[in-house]
Amino acid sequence: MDETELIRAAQAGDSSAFEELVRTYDQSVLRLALSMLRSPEDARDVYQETFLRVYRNLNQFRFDCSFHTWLYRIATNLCLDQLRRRKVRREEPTVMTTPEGTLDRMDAAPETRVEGDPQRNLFSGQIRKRVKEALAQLTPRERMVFELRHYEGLRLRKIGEVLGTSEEAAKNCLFRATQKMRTALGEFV
Amino acid sequence: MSEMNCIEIREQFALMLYGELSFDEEERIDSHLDGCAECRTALARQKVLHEAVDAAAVTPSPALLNRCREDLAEMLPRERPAAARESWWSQIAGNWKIQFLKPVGAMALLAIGFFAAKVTPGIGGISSMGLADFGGAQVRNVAAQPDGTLRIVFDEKRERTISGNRDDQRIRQLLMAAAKEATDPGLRAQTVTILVGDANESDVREALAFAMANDENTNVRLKAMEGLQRYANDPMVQNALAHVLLNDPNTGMRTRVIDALTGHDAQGLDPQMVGALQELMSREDDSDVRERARQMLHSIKASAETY
Repeated sequence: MDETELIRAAQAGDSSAFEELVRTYDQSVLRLALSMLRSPEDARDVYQETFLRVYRNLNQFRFDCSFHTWLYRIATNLCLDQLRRRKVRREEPTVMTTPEGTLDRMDAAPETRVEGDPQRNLFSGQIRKRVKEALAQLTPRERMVFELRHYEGLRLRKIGEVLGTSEEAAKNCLFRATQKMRTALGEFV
Repeated sequence: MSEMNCIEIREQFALMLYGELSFDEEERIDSHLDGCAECRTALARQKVLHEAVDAAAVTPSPALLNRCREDLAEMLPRERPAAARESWWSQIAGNWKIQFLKPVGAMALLAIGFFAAKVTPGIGGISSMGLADFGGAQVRNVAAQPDGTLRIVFDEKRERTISGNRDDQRIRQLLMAAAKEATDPGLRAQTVTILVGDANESDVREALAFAMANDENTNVRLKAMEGLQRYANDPMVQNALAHVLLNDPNTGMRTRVIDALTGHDAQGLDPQMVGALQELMSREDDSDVRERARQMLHSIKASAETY
């Protein structure tokens, strides 16, 4: 079944079709939520709420946009809401809790390019720490656009669709975000 | 090249690395780079920075992904399939009906008969009765007799009168059934008004929530809402209010829902209520209601965008 057929089957109540849709996209949704929120528990909540909303509203999906865009619209809105609330509560967590214990988000990032070189590892660790700090300085919207472009690889046109804005506005937002990142990280490169 | 031009060019490097510049813009930069060693160095540094950020990508652990999938698999069966409902809000309303009917159980069935019953004539008079005259009568058994006639056993309904205080369970059950089933809107409004006095009890709140969300008479719905306003922290009441917000044809009722929620912070609102307010923004025709919803969402720092 192609995606359209899967969606129609899920709309007709086929639970295995819905499960296949979830499996197609759930890693991306979880990665986005984890990357944005830096808290596995919050990411887990966003994951659940995203797919429950998709499930509840699936029969209202009219193929006006791609399923991926619709899904990301839900997930990004939930992440942005969470970030905005956090900003008010001043509760931005700096570490995440995993079954293995507390872990700094950036320490969890793969380091395939610098294995076996302690000096470069140290330098890379410092860079990641600064990247983390720089990302935290972005506004929720800048952060979202940056994450979607840099880590999710979405084109600006698509980001505009997901966030309900124009490609130009998304481009301006990405421009601001990259300028801030460059200013924050310039001395390290 | 002027310094200003170099700054302008360098500002575009990030977008260029993302492939988000037009052909003409990239041409302009390439042309500049051919003659500017400093900008070529700056571009090289930008690429290093790009890769440094790239290296900070986060990948969820398989364990976290599995936990999420397990949670979802556990929660989905509680939802009705998408195709089996008109909307997720009507599904919520459906849940109340189920919850409401469970505690009432057999009493609700009795009450249907109670309100619909006529004084049943003696068995000899049955042949003159129409089906409607049986109201909620329950046929228990039908058997063919040797002489060709049919033998039907049914529960006979009779009008009864009971008296008691409001906290008498039989009285309360009948009041709740009347609020839901009585055909006379005046009687429903009267019973709802009485039940409001006991809204501290969860089963009464369920009955009031049902009336608020489903009664065809606006006055009854309004009375039920007035009784529930002070219990707006109850998730069940919030679900009912969300249903009213999205489905009630009366603008005043929708306005009152938002008024009832005013003063709640984000933590005090059920996520479904936040979702209802956001959904309302896309479907509400009345500008005043829409504006109130927008202000409400703003006050709890939630997005006014729809999903």
